[in-house]
Amino acid sequence: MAIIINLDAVLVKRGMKSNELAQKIGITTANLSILKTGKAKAIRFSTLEAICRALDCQPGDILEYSEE
Amino acid sequence: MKKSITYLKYIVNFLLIALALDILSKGLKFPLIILAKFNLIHEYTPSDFNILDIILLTINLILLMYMGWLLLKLRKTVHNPESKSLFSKENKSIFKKVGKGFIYYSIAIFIIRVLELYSENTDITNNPSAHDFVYSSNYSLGYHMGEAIGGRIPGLVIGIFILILADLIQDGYHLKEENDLTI
Repeated sequence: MAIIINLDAVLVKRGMKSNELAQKIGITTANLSILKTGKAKAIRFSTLEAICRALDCQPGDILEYSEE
Repeated sequence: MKKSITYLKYIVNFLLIALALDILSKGLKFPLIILAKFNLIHEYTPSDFNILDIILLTINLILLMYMGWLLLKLRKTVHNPESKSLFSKENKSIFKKVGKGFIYYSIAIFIIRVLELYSENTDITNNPSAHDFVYSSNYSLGYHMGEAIGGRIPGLVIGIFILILADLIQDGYHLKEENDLTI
């Protein structure tokens, strides 16, 4: 996929663990893992908003476009 | 979704019962042929069944068993308590197989019926005493051909309907996958 998820890098920067983030934004760790591994087909604006709020970042910090 | 699976269960069970009865009625002809061959019964004389009839009956029975096997496969999917949703890759492939099976079965049975009618008709025309009735037998052949075509239409319609269902299941599977992978 041409969209890369940089969630791991942001999590390390903020010193937060995956399960903690999952709990904060109200999704399961399994779904967060799908998102991190790039298996997800789509992301809801509400989820993106919750992630940005929890990690205090911009959508651009998490999502990146690269040509395949 | 539960309702549609319940209706599907009814359809599959109904088709299986109809098929079992058909297999029973066709299968019972074999003991009759054997009994008639050994002159144990006099209702059916061995001349009533020529070799072609027996071959066609066997093919017919094999085709019925093939349909039964396909329907049992479908029944297994429909009655599986673990499957929460009808939309899966396995269900799609089973529905496609059953749909195609129904269409092939209908065509094969139609060919068998035509061959049966042909053999019946040649029996009449070979018999000189029945020669006067050839004209009426042609009418009879036409009538039975119409009946044979008409009798196979429901099977074809069911086959096409099941193929449409297979396509819908495939579309549903893609939508479900997309929905499941939307975070």
